[in-house]
Amino acid sequence: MAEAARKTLTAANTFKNIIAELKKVDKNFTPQCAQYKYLMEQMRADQVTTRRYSKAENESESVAKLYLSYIQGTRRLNELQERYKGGEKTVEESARLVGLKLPERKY
Amino acid sequence: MTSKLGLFTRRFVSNQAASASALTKPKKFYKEVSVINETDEKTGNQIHKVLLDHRVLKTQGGQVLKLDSYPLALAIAEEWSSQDEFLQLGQMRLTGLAFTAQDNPLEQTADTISQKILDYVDGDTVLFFNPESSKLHRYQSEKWAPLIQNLNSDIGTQIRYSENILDCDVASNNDKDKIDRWIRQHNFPALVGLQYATESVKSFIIAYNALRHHIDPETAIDAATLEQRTQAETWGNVEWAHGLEREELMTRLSAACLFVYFNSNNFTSKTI
Repeated sequence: MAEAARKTLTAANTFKNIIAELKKVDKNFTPQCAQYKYLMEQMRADQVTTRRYSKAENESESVAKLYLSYIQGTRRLNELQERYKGGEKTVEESARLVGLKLPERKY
Repeated sequence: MTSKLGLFTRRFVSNQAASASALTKPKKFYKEVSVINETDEKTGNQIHKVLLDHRVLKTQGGQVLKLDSYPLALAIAEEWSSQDEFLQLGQMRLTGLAFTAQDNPLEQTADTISQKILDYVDGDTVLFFNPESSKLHRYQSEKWAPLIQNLNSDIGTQIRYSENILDCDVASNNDKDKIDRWIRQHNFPALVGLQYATESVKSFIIAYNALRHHIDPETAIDAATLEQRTQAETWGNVEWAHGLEREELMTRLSAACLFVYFNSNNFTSKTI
């Protein structure tokens, strides 16, 4: 029983993390949207099956983990790419590097 | 403004002739994403479509995208909904897999796909242990041996690892037949996902373990990048290469496993 209770905690945690992640990347993610309702349904269904069918419990939590790692991975990938993307300095910035200033443009 | 969604290139060319290139990303041209459910006339099953504003999402081949699984449709809708100002089509992996499964641009069949997946077994990453470095060898015994064991106990194969990279004998023909039979249990979209998973981690055994819920995605990626991580322990980690590779692999494998799962299971719920 205690084992089942512990498993419920981690599954609920995963669902909470999924909701937090979706809120971060999707501005339209609200408690009214279909995805939120589906996640809530899954969370409730999971709590029921956890107590009775331990084999099914692993599956539902595992799928939640897969989805969480998918969306987390996508967000982190974007962040890494933003951080390490290259790019040339503009002429003004390169001049500033060596302490020079561009002449003023009169047009 | 034409509103046919499958034809991004045509949109590009007509609106931004000066800058149409592979480098410009398409802009987010919709505000809301939703899922609609319909009953297919021929089979009587529920099929789901994704709507971007009021336009239905079409595959790259121009067909309307039809999905059997409601959670999959929700997840794909979520991919489109989480896009910023510029769409990153390469990152929408579930959409990509769904498009590939429906269009089948490379004209694959169950035969060709299962053959491609089986080809990975002979050279599977986790079947070749390296005896040169004792630390790596120890990690391999700890992390990889259980994965091989899971596969063997599940479907009755007798695959073993080898310490010689030229060994061609790690899986007998009998073993390959059993694996082939397991692969062919899946329907065509699930096969597409299975192939994608295998190719992303370069190992059938790791993909199998992840799909059968024996290990979670983190563990799977750890197993796939074992050698890199062991080296990184000694020589240090480079975030813009290793970190990037890890997140790439993570998204690919998770998306593939989700795609296989949603295409292989029917969800029924009864309210009493």
